[in-house]
Amino acid sequence: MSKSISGENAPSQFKYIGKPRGTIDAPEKLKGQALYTADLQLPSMLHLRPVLSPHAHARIVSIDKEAALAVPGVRAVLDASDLTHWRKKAASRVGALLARNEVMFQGHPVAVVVGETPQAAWDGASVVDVDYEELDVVADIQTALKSGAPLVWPNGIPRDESDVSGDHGAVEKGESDAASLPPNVHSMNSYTRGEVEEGFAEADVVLERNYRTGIVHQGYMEPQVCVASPDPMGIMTIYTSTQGPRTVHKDVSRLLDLPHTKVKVVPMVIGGGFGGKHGMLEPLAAAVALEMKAPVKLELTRTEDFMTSMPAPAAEVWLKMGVKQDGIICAIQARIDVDNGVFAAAWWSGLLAQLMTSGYRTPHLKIDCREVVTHKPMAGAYRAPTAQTASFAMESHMDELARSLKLDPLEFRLQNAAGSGDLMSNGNPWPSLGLKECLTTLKESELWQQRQTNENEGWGIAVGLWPCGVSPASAVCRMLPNGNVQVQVGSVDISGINSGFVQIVAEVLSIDPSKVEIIQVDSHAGPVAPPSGGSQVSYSLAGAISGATRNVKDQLAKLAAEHFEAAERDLVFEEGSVHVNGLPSKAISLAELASQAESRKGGAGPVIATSSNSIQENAPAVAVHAVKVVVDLETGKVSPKNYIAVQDVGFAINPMLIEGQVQGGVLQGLGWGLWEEMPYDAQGQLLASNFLDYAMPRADDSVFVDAVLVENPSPLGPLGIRGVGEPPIVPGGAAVANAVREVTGVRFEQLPIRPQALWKAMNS
Amino acid sequence: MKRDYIFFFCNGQPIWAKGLAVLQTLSAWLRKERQLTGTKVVCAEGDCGACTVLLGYPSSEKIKYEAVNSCILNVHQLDGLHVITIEGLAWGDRLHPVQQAMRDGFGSQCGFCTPGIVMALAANALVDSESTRKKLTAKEALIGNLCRCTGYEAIIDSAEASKKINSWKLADQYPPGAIVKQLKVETKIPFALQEVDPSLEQEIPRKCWRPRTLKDAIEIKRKHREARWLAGGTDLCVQINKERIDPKELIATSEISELCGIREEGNDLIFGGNVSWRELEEWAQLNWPIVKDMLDLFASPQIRNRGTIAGNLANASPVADSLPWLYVSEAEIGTCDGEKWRWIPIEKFYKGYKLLDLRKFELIGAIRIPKSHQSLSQRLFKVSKRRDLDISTFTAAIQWQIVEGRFQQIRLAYGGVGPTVIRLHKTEKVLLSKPCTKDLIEQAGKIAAAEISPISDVRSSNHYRNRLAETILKKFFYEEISVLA
Repeated sequence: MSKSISGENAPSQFKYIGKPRGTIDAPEKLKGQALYTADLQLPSMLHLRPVLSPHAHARIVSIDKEAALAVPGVRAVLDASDLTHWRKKAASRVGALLARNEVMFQGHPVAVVVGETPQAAWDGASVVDVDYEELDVVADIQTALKSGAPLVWPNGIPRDESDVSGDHGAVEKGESDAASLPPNVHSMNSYTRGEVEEGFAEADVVLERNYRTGIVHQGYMEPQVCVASPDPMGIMTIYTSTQGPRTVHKDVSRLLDLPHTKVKVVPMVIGGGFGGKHGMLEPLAAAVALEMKAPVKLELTRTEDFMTSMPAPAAEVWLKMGVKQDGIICAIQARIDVDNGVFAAAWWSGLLAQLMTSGYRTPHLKIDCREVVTHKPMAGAYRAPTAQTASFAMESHMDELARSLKLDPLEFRLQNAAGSGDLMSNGNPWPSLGLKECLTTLKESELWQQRQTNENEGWGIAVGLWPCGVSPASAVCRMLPNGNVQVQVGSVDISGINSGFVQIVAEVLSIDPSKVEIIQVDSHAGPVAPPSGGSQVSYSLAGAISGATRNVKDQLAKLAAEHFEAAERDLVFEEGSVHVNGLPSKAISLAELASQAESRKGGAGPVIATSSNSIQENAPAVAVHAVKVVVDLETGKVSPKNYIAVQDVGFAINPMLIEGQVQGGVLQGLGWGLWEEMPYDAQGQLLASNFLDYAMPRADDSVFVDAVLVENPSPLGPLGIRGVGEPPIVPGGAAVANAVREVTGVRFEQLPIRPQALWKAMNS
Repeated sequence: MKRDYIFFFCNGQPIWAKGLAVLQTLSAWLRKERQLTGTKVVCAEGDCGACTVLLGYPSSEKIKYEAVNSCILNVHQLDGLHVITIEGLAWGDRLHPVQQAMRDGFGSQCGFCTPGIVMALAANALVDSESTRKKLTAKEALIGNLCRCTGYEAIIDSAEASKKINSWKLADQYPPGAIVKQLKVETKIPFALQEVDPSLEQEIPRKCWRPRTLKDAIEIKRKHREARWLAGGTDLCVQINKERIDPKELIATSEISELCGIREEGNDLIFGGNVSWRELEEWAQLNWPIVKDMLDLFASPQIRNRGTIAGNLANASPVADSLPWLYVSEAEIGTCDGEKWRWIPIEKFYKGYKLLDLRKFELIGAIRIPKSHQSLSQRLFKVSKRRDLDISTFTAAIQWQIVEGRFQQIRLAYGGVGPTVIRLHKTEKVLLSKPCTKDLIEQAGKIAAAEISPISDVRSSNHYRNRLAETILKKFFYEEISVLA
């Protein structure tokens, strides 16, 4: 395990950074006092209940609102034609406020009932009578690509500037010129290096397989919810559970033709997002609030959320690889089809391609990607979007190739692993990449070397890659007269990020962390910050925060130097005070300095600073996981027993919080591998829309994780940090599949590996 | 004489509630009427536990608290009880040990499941040496709670760490003496509600009764044929939340004294319809340990604390966890019309998919099991995607006795293989009196597969279920029989 830090201080000198520390918001969350969006009760607020389409594709013949309007307490029943501010076409999920003429997926909102109470809205929604004429349904990739298949969009796929994948790092958009695309494909991409046929000709072993992963839901505990309130000053204020307040701001303003200055998005405490909360309900709620001239709350039920939100896409991967007897990879060829659901507002396959085929060096490469549309809800992002599928396909393949060559699976990976500067499949060089470091760490760890197995048990390993995003960002820091330091950010805390920021600020100013306030400012007034997606917030923002704090420290030093009539270099900051070196008894508190600065006329003025930064390059993260499973041969049930998770975190600002991310990510990855999938039938009907049928792991399914944090510093990131939130979910599915192969001899080409499927495979 | 209000305590405060408000779910009432928004609603059907609160039942001078799901509990069901929410768990500035440990151990990330998790663990922490029930492990206590952020590890570690933190007694925070006394005084006579709901188009009043005798209950039912029985509420409330069924008239059975308790009568055990799975568990711990082990596979602690035997029987799901056990135990269902009891063997009681031998004004009052079953070996198998709180694709109960290497007694019942649970009489015949060998089990497996006719659905294919019918017998043989040999 390498431990080094780029930055101004050596680790031993840190007082707060690098240490485990509970999160700042834990007490109020634990006491039930944290205020979430659904907890808001605004005066004269109305309650919305959507009417969702039961069909995947149908023409709306008529909407009879009479019975609903007769329900006491129902104030209105609105359909698309009633939303006078919404004139834009529907080209993405967030832009599909209500269906116009046709419903395009099961769960497509058709109307919304406005009630004085939630109950009235419910009662109204249950008697809105929509008459549908059912149309041809294209429910999956295979059907969509079949020749002669009905078109999902006979009049052409609608497009606008929406890009749901854009919040998640380096997405590669493909060719989307309609004339050159096959039916039901919204974009194509290809990547070529060398001549794959030459590569395969040189290979001793060539392996081809078809992999598939299904639709998986983010499973955030808090269903999607927002409150839209037109305020008396003409500003549409939106309180919402979102990872991307600035994304929501842009969407609401764009879709409802509201000036940018007339929208304000207030990010609330968010009850889990995992990529699923970058804007969905807000434009609809705002449009209804504008019609009703009153605040409205739109809160989905769990079943509605399953039906109408944006889960991870299903994907199919054909992968062919050629390897020489000595274990050197000579060619990789792949075809990737991603089921985008109904809209053309995300580009997932290019990202999947990069993540799948860039981890190992190859001289020859050819990848063809297609973004397919179907009559299903638009696919969205789920924690490290597409990386799970990429890892499952590539790591299953690597495992199988190692078997055919009788090579140790770990050594085989190490032998071919890409490093910094090696080419990714898009031809760009990898930025600093810790893949070899992580593989070596696993190899040398006692946990791995002393691993054991009993009957029906086996280990599997897999690699997961995530590019991690980076965006320009800024922050404001103020020293308050009460002795607190206030940091204003435009980001949203979804994983303890603010608690990490507190540690940085406390460190820079030598102040107790309890004196640091992080204020999440609304999208109207807040500093520029990336959305909380793509594992980019700490990496992008920590530099701006420490920069602003250092600036505040410099200002305080000037004030203190004046006060003591001493040189700034002789000052010592300690415990919220400053003193001249050697004279600690004569200290002056930072509060006093700030107070004087705010009251004294003719002085330097209040202590406040802003800082901006924009890092040139992202810092990819790597997770290498090893899992031991036990298989019940009679029922096909797979249970994880041991789990080792090695991850390059660059530098751990708070190891406890990172381990929490790793543990949570690992169980979500096992969800991909063993339990979770949203099944749709050929008519586009969802067959699992509650927590009984959609099997998220419970406490009894959990496994204790041995987390090994590798600190391989990023060259440009503050303190050498890298993104940490997403990588832990990536390799679990592949690792489990490889472990199942080890125990049973069955190679799974699709996830999840449910008891029935494994049992069937073992008995066929 | 009737009482038109209900009375209970909420976080130590006395509450008188009347009118339509008492028909809401507890979670809605807490969040809307009391602004106690710490209780979260995530699934509204008892699958996730985010709405977990403590429900205190007075018994003599004490109050016994249990974790329940507040989203599938009506407010009138609190009559005479004490509810503690997440806001009432800390004592002033002092955090409960579970809260302290979760703060220090990063047991709460997004925080949305946190209140429910804290309450579930706090309920388990109340189990002490004086309790009749067993302390659960943290994993067991959390079976009814979903968390998406933490992977549970930090929560489980925090639960361990919380045991080492000294704490006050809940009885000091909420002295039971005064609470119990006032509860008794205020709830002396039965509650009944009749009130017109302005949100209904027709002016029909909503009605709700909480009768205390079987006679009263049936009398009400005879007058109000549309009235629905409400036992624990873990099923009906889900239907109200999810399927939007709207029973205008409810008769709550939980205070009907004849339906309460477990007793012996001659050679039989009688379990009252009101007996919750928790009560059964506590009784079985001492009296029928095998049944206790089996109950560990049932639902979640929150559901077990509220769900009743009669409710489970009335729901009649062919994959209900309890039914195979009742089939092999040759249970008889006692139904009552206020005067006469009928005792119907369970195999006859279920006539088809959700088709019960229950007459118009009858109520499921009790089950009766011959005591002789207590001495037999027994095992429940449950096959589902996950182990806990999951819809089973297949369940099997096996009850047996081996004398001199032969099956002296053998009973098999499978669930999830047809419209009702079925007893495998043909397969039993093959096994009975025969030496228990691997060959015999394999032979019986084939018969078992032929004896059932499962369907395919989203949870499983019929082929898989057919094969499970066979392999479960093999599993039984390896795990229960061959170990002995």
